[in-house]
Amino acid sequence: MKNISDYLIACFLLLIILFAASKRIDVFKSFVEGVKDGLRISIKIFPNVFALIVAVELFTKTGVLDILQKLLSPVLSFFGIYKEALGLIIIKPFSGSSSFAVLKDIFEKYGVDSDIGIYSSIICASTETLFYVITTYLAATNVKKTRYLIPVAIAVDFLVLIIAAMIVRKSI
Amino acid sequence: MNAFWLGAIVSSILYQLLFGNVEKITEILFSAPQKAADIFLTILLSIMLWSGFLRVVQDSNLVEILKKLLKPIFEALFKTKNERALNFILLNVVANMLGLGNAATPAGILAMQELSKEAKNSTASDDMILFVLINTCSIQLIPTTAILLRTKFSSSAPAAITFPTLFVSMASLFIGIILCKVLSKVCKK
Repeated sequence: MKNISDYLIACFLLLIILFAASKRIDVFKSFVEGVKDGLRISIKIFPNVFALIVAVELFTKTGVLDILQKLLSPVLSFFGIYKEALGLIIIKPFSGSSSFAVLKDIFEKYGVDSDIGIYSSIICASTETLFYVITTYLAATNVKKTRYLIPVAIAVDFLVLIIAAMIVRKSI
Repeated sequence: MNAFWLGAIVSSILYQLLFGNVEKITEILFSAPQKAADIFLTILLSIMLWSGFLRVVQDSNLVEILKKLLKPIFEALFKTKNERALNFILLNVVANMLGLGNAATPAGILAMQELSKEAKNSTASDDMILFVLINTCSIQLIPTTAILLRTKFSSSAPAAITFPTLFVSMASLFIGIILCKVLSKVCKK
């Protein structure tokens, strides 16, 4: 299967370049100006991303994550969430690449077409790297007080876990 | 964020001090910056590339065409009258829906910078919170990465997750927007 997003990216680029050229703007100059913006943004957000990565590395590699998994599994069972997917549920809000590594482990252990395999695929695709997104987006601004943002984001994430479990168990 | 960061660092160090080996901490402290640098280089280059294309889109006014289609929805959701902010929000949402995460991030960050001009005393505005929330709901028309991974593991129906995923993320987006609207009334700044 060819990847659809590869086609999308190719067509998208062709479209914007041809459109810009038809408007007779200096495409090269525009692109370079944009790259300068990108460089400025990246340097501004880096310290925050750095701090987040260091904390996540400590948290996962020291084994505190494993303890958290043991503590949380009764809570998850109560809400009908598959506790086998817990590693994925905890890692996903912090790191996209690690979460796909965890998804691979789940496929190997339980099978890709098992209920757990399907459930894990759905939540991996329908939740976001929540803390990572919040950190990078806010790092570009001077905002310090986030008010109700983090509670709502976590609540919505949790809701996804429950709805997805209901779909897989066919109780909707 | 502060609480999460403190919690992660303190619990990790305490755990290794009490039950494990403290060398592990030193080891991680040497490897983590390297990992952060690798990730940063990837982000940096991809943000530079997509910011470049984004600027071309802006300068050529291509976004005006998209805007005509989706503007009513965005004007109903966001309070801001800032045209530039609305343009970036639009680009971010479209790129996210198409699964072009790398293109969505620079647009999202630029939208946040525009929105933060209206924020008072370093407090996030309702628009900023709503916008970040929409981003964390991850609406994708086709979850390409997950389907690809399922194909690699020779699933009998790799794309079977498409509809459930769309349903779940639409439901969470809908509830998230309602929560934001309600809380913005309840929690006045």
